[in-house]
Order: sequence, then C-alpha cells, then structure tokens
Amino acid sequence: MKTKSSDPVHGIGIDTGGTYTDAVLEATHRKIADAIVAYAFSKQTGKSIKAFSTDDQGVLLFSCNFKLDVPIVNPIVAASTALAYAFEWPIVLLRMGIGYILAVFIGILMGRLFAGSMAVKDNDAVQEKGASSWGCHHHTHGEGCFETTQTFPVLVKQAGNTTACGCGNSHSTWVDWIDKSGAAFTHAMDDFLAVGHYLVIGAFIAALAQTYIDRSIFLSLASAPVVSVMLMMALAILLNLCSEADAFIAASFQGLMPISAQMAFLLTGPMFDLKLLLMYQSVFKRRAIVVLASLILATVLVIAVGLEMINGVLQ
Amino acid sequence: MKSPEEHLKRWLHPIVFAIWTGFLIYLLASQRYVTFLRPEFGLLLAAAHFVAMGFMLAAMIRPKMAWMDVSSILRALVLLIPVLYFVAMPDTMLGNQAFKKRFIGVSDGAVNRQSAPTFFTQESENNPNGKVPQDTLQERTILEIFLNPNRYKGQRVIVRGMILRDEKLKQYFGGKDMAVYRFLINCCAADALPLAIALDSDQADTFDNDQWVKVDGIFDLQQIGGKPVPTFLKPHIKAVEKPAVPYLF
Repeated sequence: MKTKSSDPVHGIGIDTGGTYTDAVLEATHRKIADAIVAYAFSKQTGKSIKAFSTDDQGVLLFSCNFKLDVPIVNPIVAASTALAYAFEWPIVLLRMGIGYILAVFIGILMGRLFAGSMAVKDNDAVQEKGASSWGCHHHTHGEGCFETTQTFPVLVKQAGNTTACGCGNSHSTWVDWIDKSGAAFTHAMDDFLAVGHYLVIGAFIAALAQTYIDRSIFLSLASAPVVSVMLMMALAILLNLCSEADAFIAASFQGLMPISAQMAFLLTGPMFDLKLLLMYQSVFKRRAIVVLASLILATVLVIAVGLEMINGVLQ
Repeated sequence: MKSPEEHLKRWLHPIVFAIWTGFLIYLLASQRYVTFLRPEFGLLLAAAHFVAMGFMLAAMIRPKMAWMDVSSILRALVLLIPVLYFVAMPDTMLGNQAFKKRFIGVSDGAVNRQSAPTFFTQESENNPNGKVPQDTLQERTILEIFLNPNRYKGQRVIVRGMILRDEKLKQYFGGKDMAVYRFLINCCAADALPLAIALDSDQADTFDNDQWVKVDGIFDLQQIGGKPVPTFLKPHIKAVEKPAVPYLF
C-alpha cells in the first residue's frame, strides 16, 4: 500500500516512504514540535493554540517568515558577516535588519496572496487517508487515543491518563525515553529520506556552477549600476552558498562591486538559490514557488537599487 | 522465504545509512575531510556520524517495511552519490581550473579577517616599523602575508604554494603571467578563495601548473593601476611535496 505521511503544520506533504502504522512511532517528538510551532504561531497572531487548524494558511505565513528569516538573522551569520567585512557594523546591521524586514514582508504577502487557496502540496493527505502522524505509540493504528483527531496535540495530561502521551497506558520513564528517542530518529530519518536527494542534486548543480562560471565575467559588467545588482543576485542563486560562508565571497568583491550589489548577494542567497528551489518544489505548489521567488527577487532588487541611490551613506 | 524485492525494501535504507556511517568514520579517522572542510568542523562530522548511525538503527528496527517504489529506491541511491564521488576521486582538490574561475584580482576585501590590515594600511599592530625582523625569518603562509602585507614588504619571505602560469594573470599582475597561490577556506571548498602572489621570475617556467613549490624571495607591493599587487622579486623556487593540509583556513 502506498503510504504518505503528511505534515501540514510544518507545511510539508511528502512521501516519506513509511507506513501509516509507522507514523504512530513518530508521535511523541512530533507532538512537541507541533506544539512549539503552534505556540509560536499563536504568539505571532494572537489566536489561541486550539483555534488553529493544521491546514490554516496562516501556517504558510509563519513558515515563510521562519524559512526566510533564519538563514540570515542568526548570531552565526552576524558573526561571519562581521568577520568577513572586518567588523564594519553598518554592513552587519543592514544585512540583519533588511533580511528580517524582507522575511516578514514576504511572509505577510504570501499569507495574504494564498489566503483562499492551497500553496502547500498534499496538505490534506492525512484527512484523505484517514490517518494521522501523531498519536500514542502504544496502540496500533485506529485504536485508543490514535483515533482522536485533535488539530494540535496538547502537551498536558488529560484526565485519567497517567502519561504525558495521553494514551492512558502506564509505562516507565526509561522505556518512554527510549521510545521517544526511537520515534524522533525514525521521523527525522523519514524527513531526511524525503528531502535528502534534493540536497544532493542541488549540491551537484552548485558544483557545476562553481566549476563552469567565471566570476571575473561578472566584474566586466559591474560598472552599470542596476546591472551589477542583478549580476550579484544571479551569482548568489548559482553558487548556492551557505549563509555562514557567503559573506566572505561577497567581501572579496569589495572595491570591485558597489556595496549595494554585495548586499543583494548577501540577501538573495540565503532566501533563494537553485538548491532551495528544488527543496521548495517538494513542499510548495508551482504557483506558490513562482510567487515566492518573484517576491524575493523583486524586493531584494528594489532594496539594493534603493541602497545604490543613497550611495555615500555606506561608502 | 522473502523475495529479493522484499529484502531490498527491508534493507535498502539501513544499508544507505550504514554506508554513510562508515564513510563519516573513515573521513574522521583518516582526517581526509580537511580536503574539503575546515578542520574545526570535524566535530560536526562526528555529530553527523552519530545521526547517521541513529538513522541506520531506526531503519533496522522499524517494525514494518518501508513502502518503496522505483522512485523511492532511486532517491535513496541518490544519497550515495557523494560517497561514490569521493571513492572515485579520492585525491581531487581545487587547482588551477578552480583558480581561473574564481580569481577576480587583488581586491582590498579579499582577506579581511580579524580586523587585519589590508594592503592599504601602513603599519603592523605588533611592529610599529611594519617590518619583520630578519633574524626571525621562517616559512610563512600566503594568508599571513595577505593579513599583514606591509609588515613583510621589502623583506625576504618563504612561502609554500602551487605554481600557476596563465595568460589571464597578466591583467591582474601587471603583465606577469606566473604566480604562487593557495586557496583560503572559510567553511568548505565551495567558498574557497584563491590567494595569489605574482612571481617576477623566469625560473617558474620549469614548473608545471599546480606543482607544489617553496618560494624564497623578497616580497613587495608593486603599484599597478593604482592598486598594490603582491609580488615576489627574484624568488628562488624549489619543488616540494604536497602538504598534508593543502588549504589555508
């Protein structure tokens, strides 16, 4: 039987290669992860946790914000950018600040644009198949607490239950811990198997780009203001660098490319490149990807050109 | 008795993760990972090895067989491509081809670590005169020279690197077509930046591209097109063995 494990909360509806009964084993750690997402989402929107359906398109907004923000706005990237630019703090602050604003802006826009339509693939696979990926790991599919269809699992003991999983069965903490670890690894493994090949293929494409693209060609067109920004954005997409390392590459263009073009490189890469495009295809529908990519590229271009126009502040 | 297809379904994922576990252990034990990764990141590989092992165990003890079709089998096999690549070309490293694609000239931001003085600063922090004492002459890395170029200007310096002779260098090095170079890695080989010092010598004609050499000569910053270009004047060049760690970090 072909099985699918859908994870609407995380915005992922993908073939995990597992069985539905295996999904029972994934329950515990998923409960925690889902509850965290629900909690964070509720804090952002002001709704109560239970008010959310896992299919709520607001989750798309949240996941977009999260996905676009995290690769840029984190301490490691801030430190590497500072190091690469010899502690020129305006560059670091610009990258962090603009990256954060862009992510929030694009997330809100995506949430609004797809308010009435589904942007995520196979989002209702669970409901169609009558299965859920969370539940008590002491029951087989369809039994006991697994029958409950609560939208977000609640991390509190229910009346009469003796365990945090809410199944009513008693079990030792040690066995619980082993079960939870096993469930965590099983679920992580399924996720890895579902998206890992995209990483490998993306890395392969990135290697081809690194091998055949001559970076000096980009310099020959650097004198044209907007063109230099667009070229650096294209380079960021083609090189597929991680956000911890891309600042060093961008810094190597100091004196050769305007700072606005370098900033375009630093903002584009973490949000959109070939590898991410493949990854997005496993999660989002084509229309959503086109819209998301267009929003990212357009906003970065506008910001970078704007920076160019107020040139002199940074130089 | 189980059919081969059932065995494949049961054991493909455990085998994939077992191969990755073994591969990561090999990389760590042999230290081969430094040919594409910063040495400090060995800790991450060690962590990854435990994760791969956990995945392998999870796939093995899974109560039910994973559902699998041709597509999922191919996807699992794709995960082995990096391992196959490494096995097929174990000694591959970045060389002159990568240099030619990545080199964009001597920019003032090529190396800017630790608030290091660039080519435009005038003196070293530890040495107000900006000179390295001759009685402390020892082999330096190209990175050390790039970080403190004025300290070494006019001084005799010894560095180790690879030889490159290419017409493309002339536009960057004021007509000189030879250089000694190494790659600087910040995270992994994907972000490797070539650092090159021009060689003002005819002796390099006797060396092939990517030949590892030790260069002993006078370091200078020649002004070409308004930019300081690092150059070795009249260097003595000697072929040497490839170092255990070919990159600079």
